[in-house]
Amino acid sequence: MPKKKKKTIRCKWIFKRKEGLTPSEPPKFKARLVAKGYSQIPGIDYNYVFSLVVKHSSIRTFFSIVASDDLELEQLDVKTVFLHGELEEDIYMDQLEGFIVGGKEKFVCKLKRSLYGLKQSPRQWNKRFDLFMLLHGFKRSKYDSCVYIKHINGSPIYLLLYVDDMLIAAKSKVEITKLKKYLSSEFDMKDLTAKKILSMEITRDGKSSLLFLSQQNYIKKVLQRFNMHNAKAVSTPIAPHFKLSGAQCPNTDQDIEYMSRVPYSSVVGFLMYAMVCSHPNLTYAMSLVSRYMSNPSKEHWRAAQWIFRYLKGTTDFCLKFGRTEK
Amino acid sequence: MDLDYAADLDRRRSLTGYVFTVGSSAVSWRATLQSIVALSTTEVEYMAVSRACKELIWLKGLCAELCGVDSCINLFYDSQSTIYLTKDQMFHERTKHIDIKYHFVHDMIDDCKLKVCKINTHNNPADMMTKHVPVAKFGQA
Repeated sequence: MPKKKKKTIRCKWIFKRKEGLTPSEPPKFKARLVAKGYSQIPGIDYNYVFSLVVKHSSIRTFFSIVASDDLELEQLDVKTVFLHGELEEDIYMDQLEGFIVGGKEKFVCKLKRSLYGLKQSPRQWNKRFDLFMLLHGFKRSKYDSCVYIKHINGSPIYLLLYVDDMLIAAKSKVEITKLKKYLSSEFDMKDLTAKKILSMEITRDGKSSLLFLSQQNYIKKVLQRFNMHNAKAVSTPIAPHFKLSGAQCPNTDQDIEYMSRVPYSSVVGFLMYAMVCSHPNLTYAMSLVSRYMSNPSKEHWRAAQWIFRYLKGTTDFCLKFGRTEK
Repeated sequence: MDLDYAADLDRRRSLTGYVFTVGSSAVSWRATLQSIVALSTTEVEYMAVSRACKELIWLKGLCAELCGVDSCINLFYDSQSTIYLTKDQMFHERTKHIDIKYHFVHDMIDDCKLKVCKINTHNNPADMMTKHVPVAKFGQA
């Protein structure tokens, strides 16, 4: 399409090497075209960008129902998820590097579908999926818009969506297979055994119908990243000798220098994620250390490290879901 | 649910903590500083109940939608004074300054949406949200 007066969006290729799941598996090489979304102008190139994801409490409520009713659980993943969304705005993009048509160098591409990197991609994908689910007789939950329910002969089938990951549960395997068939006829799907969602590992014990949720690998990775994997473990998330307050904020140049090199906020971020997903026991400690994000002191940093040491000792801590004994 | 009065050393705000369980497993938890400064522990507790109520309404709705169970929910709490305050519509000298918004707990109880029950302090799992907990107690929670 010939170039108009409208500003175009630039794009670039991203190349990635992805290790195989087992050491024997050869690594995969991926190339992905991304649009430079930061050059989009609000009001012209995009309007709304808000996109929904499922709440963590909903996921846990879902698991508790799965465990207590002993439902079949399956996980699916949508390949190249954002390419499914349809665009409402007119967006023009420069020609792709390496794929420029000879003789038409000045031409630009008009985008029909959303691309990775565009601001509205997540929203457009969610919209498209929502339409699809409603078309197939699913009801969107009033309390969490990423939870879908359908009753077939009185027994419910649930679907939870987290961007491109979805969890499906139902009493009968037949219904799940049917739903999976529908979904893969519309989108490009990858079938995963329900083992891991949002860095939480799911383990099921078939005999006692128990379901466990843990973040072992995530915590191990985080400990390694901040060089705390050899730290001595402690047994409580926070100890009474930490009396944290705003008055402790660094005031000497030396302290300010020291704290500027400490990755305090990213540590709190990582810990916070562990707390939100599967560690209710960290809540108090986290509420303490996260109050001083803007100007942490050495004392605050020591408290954050203490939480790490606690996690070191409770890496295999998991949430248990099961039937209530009456 | 549980709380810590004036836990914030800087602004003397209080800390609220709660855990909700569905079946036997914890599904929703939180520990936050309250946005306003409270005058007494009972007041903090009362505010905490209303904070927990908000989450409860949502969770109850979700559960009702997912598995069709819509029953009265028990809110366990270790403070007698607050439990009496939630049951009693009377106007007290010491509680008259509590903002109307916190009285919506009464409405909830009248609608049989929730019941506030007593739990022994030693068995309260939400303790871990608001204080330094000794190791022995941590194991139970």
